[in-house]
Amino acid sequence: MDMTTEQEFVSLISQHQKIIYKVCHLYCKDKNDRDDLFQEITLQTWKSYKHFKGEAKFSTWLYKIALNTAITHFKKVRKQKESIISDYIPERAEDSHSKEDLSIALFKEIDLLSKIEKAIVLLYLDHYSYNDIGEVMGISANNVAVKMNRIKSKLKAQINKNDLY
Amino acid sequence: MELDDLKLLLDTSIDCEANKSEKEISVLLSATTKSLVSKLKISIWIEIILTIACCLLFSIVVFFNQYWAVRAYFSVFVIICIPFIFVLLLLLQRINLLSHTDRPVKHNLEKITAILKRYIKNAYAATFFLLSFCLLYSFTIAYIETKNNIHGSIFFAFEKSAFSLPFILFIIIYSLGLFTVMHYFAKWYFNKLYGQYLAELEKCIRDLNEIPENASL
Repeated sequence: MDMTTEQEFVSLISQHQKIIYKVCHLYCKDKNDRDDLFQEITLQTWKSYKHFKGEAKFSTWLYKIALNTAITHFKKVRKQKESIISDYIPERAEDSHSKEDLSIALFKEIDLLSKIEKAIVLLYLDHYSYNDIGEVMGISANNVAVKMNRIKSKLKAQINKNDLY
Repeated sequence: MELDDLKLLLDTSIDCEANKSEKEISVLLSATTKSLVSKLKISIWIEIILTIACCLLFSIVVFFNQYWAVRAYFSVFVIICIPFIFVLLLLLQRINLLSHTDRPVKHNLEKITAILKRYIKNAYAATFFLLSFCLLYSFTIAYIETKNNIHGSIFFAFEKSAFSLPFILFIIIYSLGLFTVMHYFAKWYFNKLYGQYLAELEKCIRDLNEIPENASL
């Protein structure tokens, strides 16, 4: 691909890099793993860029590649850090159950979800409709709705169990 | 507390990190990919290179070895290796089709799983085909060679024992042992290379297909 295409691609990735970071944060605890995954997603996107026809939104197309890459990505064996949270979310106060505490607790529970459930939650958090999530994941909107309900119940139960409500 | 409240926290956290410059992104484009598909491609390229190397090595043996049996044995393997290279190239072409990862997640997972399973199945079948072929062919050559040219044969050592009942029994037990060892070795080898990965991919497909009982929307 020529220099103009490369420049155009780099500019698009620069504008949408938050999407890649979100995927990396949800799938990798370790900073080095996240960097590896970021590089892999960027490379896979670049390799597929010639197939991008502009029919779908670039962000949706990028999500497909980023999630496909993250789900099929084999992490290097490293000494894992304790939690996804420790890297970028502040520690919670001991006695208070603030909104932020609950968010941190929820994040910890999301970290325990399966790869597929994480992908659905990520798209849901980015306000994708069930139809759009279904299109990215390759399943029906009904199936997405059922899974999302189950994920919400699971998270709620875990949070309640940990007495954070 | 709603799940949606997390979005703000996630965005805030990511804002601190998502600041790669265009120059940094450009550098990433020249890096090498570490995906499973690329690992599979590298494995197949290694197999192609090894097959070509074997072809060359066997050809040297065919042209320069003094024993007819050895020449006959290796010449057949050169003939087998040449179409095998084309089979590997065909496989490589199919794997190249997997390089586009902009398909829906389920479709992508199913494609990768299918090609990985086919690759393992074919590699396993090829191992046993070649092993059976090697044994049968080498015994046939040994038989012809021993019968026709005992004193000038490399199988001279077997002159007396060859084709007696204990010798045949030994060959049968040896072959069975070899097949058993190879069966477990091949299973262990492919499982070590791709087993864990395949299991993980299959779990993802099951997760996608599964609709919980008593599900309500």
